[in-house]
Parts: sequence; structure tokens; C-alpha cells
Amino acid sequence: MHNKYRSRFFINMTLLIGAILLAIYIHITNGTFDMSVKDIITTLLRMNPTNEFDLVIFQFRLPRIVIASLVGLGLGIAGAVVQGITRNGLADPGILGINAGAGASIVIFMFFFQMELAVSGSSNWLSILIMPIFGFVGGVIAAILIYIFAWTNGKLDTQRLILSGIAISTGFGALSLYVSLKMRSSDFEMATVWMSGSIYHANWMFIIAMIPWLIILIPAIYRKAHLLDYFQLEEASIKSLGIQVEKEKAILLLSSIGVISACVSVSGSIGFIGLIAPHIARQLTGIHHRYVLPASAAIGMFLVIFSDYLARTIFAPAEIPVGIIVAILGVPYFLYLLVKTKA
Amino acid sequence: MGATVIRAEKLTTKYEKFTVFSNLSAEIKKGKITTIIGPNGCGKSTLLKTIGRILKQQSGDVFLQEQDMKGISTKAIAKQLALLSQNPEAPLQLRVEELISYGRFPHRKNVGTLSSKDMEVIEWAMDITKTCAFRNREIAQLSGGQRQKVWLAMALAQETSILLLDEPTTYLDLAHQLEVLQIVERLNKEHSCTIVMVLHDINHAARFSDELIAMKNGEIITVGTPEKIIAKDVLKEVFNIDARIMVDPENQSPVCYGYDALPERE
Amino acid sequence: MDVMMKRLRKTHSVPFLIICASPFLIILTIALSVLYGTKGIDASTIWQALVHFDSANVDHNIIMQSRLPRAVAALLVGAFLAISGAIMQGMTRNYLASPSIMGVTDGSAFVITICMIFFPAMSNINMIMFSMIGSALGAGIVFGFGSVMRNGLSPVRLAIIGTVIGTFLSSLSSVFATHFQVSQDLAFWYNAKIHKVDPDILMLALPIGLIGLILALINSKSITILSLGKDISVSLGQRTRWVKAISILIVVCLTGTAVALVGKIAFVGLIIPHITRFIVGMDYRFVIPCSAIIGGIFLALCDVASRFINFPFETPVGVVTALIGVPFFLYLIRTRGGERRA
Repeated sequence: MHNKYRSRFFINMTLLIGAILLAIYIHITNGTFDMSVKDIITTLLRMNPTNEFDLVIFQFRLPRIVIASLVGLGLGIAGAVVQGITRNGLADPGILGINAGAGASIVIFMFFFQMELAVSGSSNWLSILIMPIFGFVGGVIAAILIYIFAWTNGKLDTQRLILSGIAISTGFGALSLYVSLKMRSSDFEMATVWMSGSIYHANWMFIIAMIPWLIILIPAIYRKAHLLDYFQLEEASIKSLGIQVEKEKAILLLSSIGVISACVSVSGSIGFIGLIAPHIARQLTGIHHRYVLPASAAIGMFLVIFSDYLARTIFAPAEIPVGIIVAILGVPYFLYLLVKTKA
Repeated sequence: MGATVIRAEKLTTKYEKFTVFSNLSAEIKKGKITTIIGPNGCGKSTLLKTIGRILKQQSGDVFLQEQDMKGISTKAIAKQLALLSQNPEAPLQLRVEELISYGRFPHRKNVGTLSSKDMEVIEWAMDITKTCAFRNREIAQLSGGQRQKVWLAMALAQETSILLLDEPTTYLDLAHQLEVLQIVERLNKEHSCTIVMVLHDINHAARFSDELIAMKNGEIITVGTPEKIIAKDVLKEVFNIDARIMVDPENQSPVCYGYDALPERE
Repeated sequence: MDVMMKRLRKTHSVPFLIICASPFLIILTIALSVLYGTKGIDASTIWQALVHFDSANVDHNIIMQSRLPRAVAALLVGAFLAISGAIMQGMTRNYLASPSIMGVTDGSAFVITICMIFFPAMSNINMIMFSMIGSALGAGIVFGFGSVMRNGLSPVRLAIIGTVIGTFLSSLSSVFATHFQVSQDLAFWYNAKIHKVDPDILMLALPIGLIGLILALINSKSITILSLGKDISVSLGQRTRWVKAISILIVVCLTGTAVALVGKIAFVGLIIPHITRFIVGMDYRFVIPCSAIIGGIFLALCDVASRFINFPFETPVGVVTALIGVPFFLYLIRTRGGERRA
């Protein structure tokens, strides 16, 4: 019985990991400065390293790839959780405005603190580590607003949920723009680039800042993965099984917002990953969340790495924010889902 | 026999802003089949859901085996009491056996695997509800009657001594209605399960119940045996019908074989 | 119907009051807009500039080249968007219909982007034309999807489709812009900088706006009937298709011109018709002109506010309209939900 799902899952995961490795390979070898696999391996293994290769790999491409992977992983998982909790296949942290809420709050943070902290180089560390916390606050505020506006007759109305999310997203976007305009011009540029979802100023510091969040929260989410299966039932049945629905949903939602904030704080708002990845994951692995979550994470990784590769190279040397590439891929998929779902 | 297993005291429940009933008290006797009847909107489903802690009461208490339910964890309650809701939903790709295994949730410590005890109970639930034949099918492939039996099996897998059923026969054809009720009867007789259900069909209620609770406009009009409730004056008061009643010679339960609507009363 | 007509008649005095007061209100708004800004200008200088324009005087130049065109542009754009929104809401009986939500403005901006890339030396009139084509394109895609989809024309669904397609078009635009390295010029259309409005385009927009307004007024009675529902309008003998075609044409012209003038501005076309209907009732013969007045004045005041929110820097007026519009939009979704009414 379960073996059917399990073998399907392992086959698909193998394929996905293959795809991720391929994407990483393409990403690391191509660009303004092409390198061969041999160059990369020798550089990584520290066999006669050259400064040139070191710079490209360790300072530019590798941190980018790592960040892209982590962001994709986080958004893929958070998307699957949000869809599971809301029982809404069109829900996505980006569309619902959680990204934008986290983003606005981080912009406000940049506005108030960055200026002072930027003065002494060492305390920049502190600010980068604090950023996700601010993002978390904004994300929670957005989630609360969505609940207030979309909650009717004791349940979340599917369509209203999305529309409220879009509105909240627009509102936080306007707020971010407003705050960022008050910044000094150098900060402003950084903020605008960052807001449209990009990872080109990737560095190892960001990676260190986001990793603790992912390490703590993702296992916590995965431990509750089986509950997401039960959440597919209707409310009365879940309660009758003795599941503390509200409490468990709140824990899962807050954990996902934490993951999202960590992602948003390094890459800005990248929408649609949390929508597309869980869908494809369900197509591939079925309805069991202990399989869907890892698959969704892997698909998210692949999508972000690949999109970032496109963003970096299509119009090189000009860079396109990766968020825009993802949106162009994501919108047709969203419309396709909208056509498919029953009204 | 005759011990009270569930006691509701001065319950007030609101649905949104509308108070469905207030200060309602009721008792459910151990090992009996109790059926709540009444016209649409009288609050019978709401009462069942409040007893089953699906809806939260505004005030009042529900006692389960003389213990206040507010003080028992929801998981502990789920080991004693299962509720089959009126419109259950499940993902269509879910397999029957898996859905039934969801019923084991309150008993499971390790979420990964089912224990042999879990397996045993699931087999038993499928056996009683005769759902073994399609255990490997997906929910999407089942007929309405089959689905209802699967849902019943999931509630049974909770292994509780009390079963609450909210209109278990709605949307089913005559044969399936009877089949579901016979399963319920068997559970009661052979496994001394206490059953509380909401039914629309008063003849079914009369035939399968030990006790009836007749409700109207958020109040309990009267409580008693089918012989007492399925009577001209009670039906007139509760449903506003002029009923013709006889006794079924096969099983001695009262049967309403025809009725006329009475003029609306002020 | 009788009751309906009575209710309509009862409210006549309010719209007449608004229309009569409008010249004064408009002059007042223009005066405010010219007076207040980064550089304070006093009333006598304005008068001087109007009567004896002195091209050597800096203040005079600011007034004639910047402040006045800006005030007029805000009034016109506000009016255009509000009329478009009112027509869309009446015609589709969709309370969320409006140029920015239904992807019309994004369509315009998208086509303008393409044109800026391939014909950088485009004449103003061509730009307005292309912007109109873009409006038609945006509206076409959104309503096309809506009609293909099951229940796709319901208010909320259509709004979702509209916003998502809007995102798509603007993402595509920014990719093109990055590729051809014209993002700088294009940021203009995306952040709606009224203060950079070109007086030449403004002169072209005036007659187009006037034609649109007149057509809208002629058509307004039919829109009232259309807003009562398809069954009623057919049974009253209306040629629904014809009315709809003209209405769409008006929306495309007005929104296209508005975007060509100042770029995308959200929410004006959504909230103004709602406020107007609340004040003057459901008769579109009054809703349309009053929307135009209220919309124009609203946007002009938002524009004035935008100079002071972050003084001495300008805030894009779109930020101001969004900060006002988003709560209103949420309120609408919350109270109206998915019901199908205009």
C-alpha cells in the first residue's frame, strides 16, 4: 500500500535532485566568465587555486547559488504549509501579502537602523542577524490582517482570501516604497533592488543569518507534516479526532512565516514559488505531506536556482531581479490553476 | 443500565450572532440509542455538535461520565467519543483504508507507523461496516452509500464507547439508509456502544432508537420512548402535522403511515 | 421600476449641486495645487503670471511650465479614470471593476514600453494611440480569460485574473526595459510622476478627454439600464451589444490617454464611482459627470498631498492613492463579498 507512494517519492526525489545539480552546474559554469567543471573542482578542492577563480566562485556564484537554494527550499515548504492550512490551492505567501508584509517591515528596519549601524562595520553583522526578526513581525501582521478580512462565517473564503491578500500586498508595497523614498539615495537603491526580489548582492553573511531559522523551523514543520494530511478533512471531522485545530494551525503558520521572513530578508519578495512548487509536488508525489514537503522544497530550490541563472545571464551584463523572472513563469501557471479549479 | 453517560447543563450556543438555544439541559443514557428529532432549524444538529465539542457553547457545561468536558483534553475526549459530521470531506485521492486509519489519531503516539493494535481496530471497523471490499480504492471512486460507510468506519476506528452521528442517512437511498442504521444498531447491541444521532425520518427514529428527544425552536419539547413520542399530540406540537399512527406488526415500533399539514399556528 | 425611478428622482438635487459647484471647486483645487509646493508661490505672482507672463521670471516659468500643467493633468487623469471606473462598474455590474484592477492600465504601460523601445522618437499623438491600443489589449486579455473560465466574470474572480495579468504584463515590461536599457525612462510610467507631465501631450489629451466625456454622457442612460441587469435591459428593448461596444471604446480611450499622460495610477477608478454612487444614487446620468468631478478633484488633492508627505521630496502620487485606496478596497471585499452587483 504505502510502498507505491514511497517508491514514487524516491524516484521523483532522485530526479529532482538530479535537476537541482544540473541547475547548479549550469549556474556555476556559465556567465560573463565561463569556467569548466575541472576549474571548479580544482578550486573547491584547493588544488592550485587562482585568485580569479576564487573570487568568482566564492564571492559571487557560490553564495548566490546557496542563497537561491535556501530561499527556494524555504518558500517551497512555506507554500505547501500555507496551502495545507488554508485548504486553498491558490494560496501562496507572495500572493497573500506575507512576503510584502515582511518586506515592508524590513524596509522600515533598514530605514531606522541601517544608517546608524552602517557607520561601524562590525555592527552590520548585528543588523543582518536582526533583519529576519523584523520580517517576522511584518509577516505576522500581514497574516492577521488577511484573517480579519477573509474570515467569514467561521471559515476562510477562498476567493476573498486571495483578493484580500493582493490588496494587503499592494498596501505594504506602497508603504515600502514610501519609506524607501525617505532613505538616503544609496540605501534607497539597495532597498528598491531588494524589494523586487533579487539575490545579486549575495554574500556569506546573509547565509549565516538565515540558516538558524531554517534549521530550527523546518524540522519543526516537518514533524507536524502528518497534521497537514488531517487538515484536508473538514473542520468538524478534524476536531472530532481530537486535534487542537486552531493551536496546531497557528504553530504551523507562525513557523512558515518565520521561514518566509528569513527568505525575504535576504532575497526580497519572490512570489509564486510557494504557489507552483507545492502544486507540482502534489502532482508528483500524491497527497501525503511527508512526501509533498520535501518534494516541494526540492522543486522550489530548482526553480529559484534556475530562475536566478536566467536573471543573471539572459541580458548579461544587465541583471533582472529574479522575482520578475519567477513572476513571468508563475503567472501563466496561476491562471492555468484558476481555470482548472472549480468556482 | 440507565446510568447517564453525557449530561448537558444549561447550554447556550450561538451560531454567529443568532442564539440557537439557551439554557438547554439534556441527558444521554449509557448503552442506549438516543435520537434527536425535530423540524429544520430547531437546533438538533447544533445540540449534537455542542455535546461533541465541535461547537463551543456560550455558557453551560457538558459532563462526560460526570467529568466536565472543559477539563478534559480534546485528545482524551476523542478516545471516548467520536462524531460523524453531516458533510464530511476528504481529499478525493485518499485511499479508503488510509482515511479509516485517520480515526486512530487519538490513540497514536508514533505518527510514522501504525501499531498492530491500530491495524486490528481498523480491520474490525472495516469488517463491521463491510468496507473491506473496496479498502484500496480512492474516495473519488466510491458511491454515496459506500462513502458514508467509510466515514462511519473512520469514526469506529476511534474505538470509542460513544458515537455521535449527525444525520447519517442524508443523501442515501432507502436500502443504504437502512444498511447504515443496521450497522449502528449492531454496534449498540453487540459492542454496547452508546449512540446519539440526529435523524429526519421519524419512522427510522422510532424503529432504531431506545429514546427520542423532540426539539422545536431551540427547546426540548419532550423526551421518552418511541411509543411515547411518536404519538398524535407530540407530533402535532413538534412538527405541526396531523399524523396517523399504527404499530408495525413486524417489530412492534410505532409507525407514522400518513399525515397532513396543519394550518400554521401563531 | 416605479420605485426605482422614484428613488432616482429624489436624489436629483444633490448631483445638480455638485455640478453647479464644480467650477468653483475646480478653480479652488487648481489654485491650491499651484500655490503649494516645494517652493511657495503667492497668489499675486500667479495672477501676474497669467496676465503678464514674463519668461525671464523663474516663478512664472514654474507656474506655467510645471504647476499649472500638473494641476490640469491631475484633474483630467482623475476624471478619466473615475469615468472609466464608473462605466466599467455599471456595464459589468461588477463592484470591483476599474481600470487598474482589470489590467487596463497595465496593458497601456506594457504597450508604451514596447513602443519606447522600438520607436524611441515617437510622436505624442502616436503614444496616446498606442496607449489606447494597450488598454484594449489589457482589457481584452482579462475579460477573455474571465469569459473562458467558469464563473470567471464574478467580481472577485475577475479581479484576481486582472491583478495577476497586470503583474505579468508589468514583469514582462520590466524585462524588456532591462534588456534594452531603458528602465530609467520607463520608471516614469510605473511610478506615475505627475510632476513631469508634458504640456504638449496635455494639449492633445484635452480634446480626447472632452470627446470621451461627451460620449460617456450620451451613453449614460443606457448604462443605467445596463446596470439593472441583462434581462431588464433586453426587455426594455435596449441593444445591449451596441451600448457595451461604445462603453468599452470610451474606457479604452480615456484610460489610454490617462496612462499616456502620467502613467499608472491605481484605485482612483475603483473608489471614486463607489463614493459617487453613495452620494448621488444609481442613475449613471449623474454618476458619470459627478465621478468625473470628484475623481479629478480627488487626484489633484492627492497630488498636492504627495508634495508634503515627505517634504521637500515628492512622493509618487500612486503611493498616496494606494494608501487611501487599499483600506477602501479591503472594506469593499469585506462588506460586499462575492455578490454580483455593481
